[in-house]
Amino acid sequence: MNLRYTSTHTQRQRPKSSVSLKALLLIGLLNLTVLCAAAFAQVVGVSSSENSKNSATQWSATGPLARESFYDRVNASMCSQCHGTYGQSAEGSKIPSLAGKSAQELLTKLQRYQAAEPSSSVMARLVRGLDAKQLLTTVEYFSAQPVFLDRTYPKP
Amino acid sequence: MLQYAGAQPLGELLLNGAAQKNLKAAHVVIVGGGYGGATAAKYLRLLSNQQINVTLIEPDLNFVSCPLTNLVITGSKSLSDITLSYKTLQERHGVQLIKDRVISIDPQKRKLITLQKLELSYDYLVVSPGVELMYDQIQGLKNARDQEQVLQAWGSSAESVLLKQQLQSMDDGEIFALTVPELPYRCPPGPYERASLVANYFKKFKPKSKVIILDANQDVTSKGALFKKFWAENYPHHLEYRPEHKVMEVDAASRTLKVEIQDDLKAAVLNVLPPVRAGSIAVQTGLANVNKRWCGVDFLSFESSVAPYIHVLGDSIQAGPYMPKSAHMANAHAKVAAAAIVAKLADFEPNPHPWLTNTCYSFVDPTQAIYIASVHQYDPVERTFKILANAGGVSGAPSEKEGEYALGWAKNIWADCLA
Repeated sequence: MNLRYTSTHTQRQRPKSSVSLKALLLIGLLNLTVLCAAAFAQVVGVSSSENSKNSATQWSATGPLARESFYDRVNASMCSQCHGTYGQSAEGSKIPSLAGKSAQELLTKLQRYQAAEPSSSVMARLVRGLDAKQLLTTVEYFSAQPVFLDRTYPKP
Repeated sequence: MLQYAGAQPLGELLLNGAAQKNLKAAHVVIVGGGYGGATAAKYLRLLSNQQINVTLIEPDLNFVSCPLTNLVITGSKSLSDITLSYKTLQERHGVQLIKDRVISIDPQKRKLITLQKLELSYDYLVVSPGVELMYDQIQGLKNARDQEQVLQAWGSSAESVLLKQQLQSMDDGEIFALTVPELPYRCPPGPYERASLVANYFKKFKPKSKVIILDANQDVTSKGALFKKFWAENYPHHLEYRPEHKVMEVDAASRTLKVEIQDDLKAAVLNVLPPVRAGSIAVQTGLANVNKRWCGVDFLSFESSVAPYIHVLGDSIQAGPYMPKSAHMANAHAKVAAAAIVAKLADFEPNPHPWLTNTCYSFVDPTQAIYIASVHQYDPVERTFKILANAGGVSGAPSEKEGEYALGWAKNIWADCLA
């Protein structure tokens, strides 16, 4: 079964030009992100800057790192009820896709939700239930997913 | 196979030869294609990189969603809007579909038999049968139900269509009685959503009619403050709530409900929800070890606490504290169970730190919804999922935006289960 897709890098839809607030937040978050990325690299055994051609190779070992990564992916799939399998939201759904967005962009958004009034949205409620490591492994997982042209889960 | 660059498919776990061989030789059978069973089928294939042989046995031709059913009964959605095909599981994911009903399971021999006398062996069995309605708990209900006089429409699409007809053929001024069983039951906010939408229908089309909720519980069991505020502001003449009203008997001939201690109620439409328990195949197989009603499981794998190699999902389980019997939860159970089966077959430990999410939307009118959400982290000491007090909660107020998210949630969870 071959799937129609384009790679993350060519198909990724970046948000429109960022506002200065975002730039400020990014600067503020830089230290935290670097720390988190280092923690993630230790857990999963890959650097967050590496693409998954490398990480797939690293997962080929049947060691504890590969298992931990398997667990993280299953845990990340707890977001898929709302955001779609692999973070690919269905056509016509108002809930945003996560697939292929940069890990930093996703992390920044989730941290904004954590800081928001809890009752403002489901996401603001749920995101409080994840610790820093869970947040990071989750955004890394969705960030590495491809974006499918027709916004639906891959067809055969 | 999945071959894209830059992607991390769920099952990307390249294993040694023996583990690969185990996965490829394994046969996992799934009993029931609801939110739990369908998700288990798909995720067993995804998480094993399409190695495990998966068979799904489901008596219905199509998947019909329970969430959004109340919009169908009250006319703002059609049954086709909430009906999906199982074919994608076969065509995209290589799940073998069998349209049949499992009538007996032999946990020792790891075999099962279907209504059409098919015999199947399994290495692992996933039992996701939903709930069985306990008609015998309310006197006269079984008979009235068999004659289609008193409906439940709590998991049966055919009954949803019939209940819609009953609602539409009511005369203006007549009463619609909706009864709620004691917790735990399937979809805690569901009856209150139904009552809200029926009240909304009356307000528009039968202004002298009203819905009366007879609730066996002490108060509204989910999103109570939100529902009650909305009812008071929007349906003061079209909805009446009576807590601590436990229905004991149905008299179909006089269309009367007899209530413990309290006054009887006569109504044109009697929508009586009896108590529920684990689906009958689970009870019959001896899996319902908790009060003969619910199936105890190991929460790291959802394996039955009484029958090895059998995993139970969804509404049938004895849930941990504050784990509702919901579609979203059944889907979450299925992912944990599927991953644990893959791990066992590949000879490594199941995930020691799983977590679950839950989100339930309820419509208070055809466009506005409210939500309840929660996060459940596994506690290795108590060996159960614990709800996180600092996360989760309910909407601030009903809104059309949440209504749109509710429909978006449905599209995405349907795809997550089936597509």
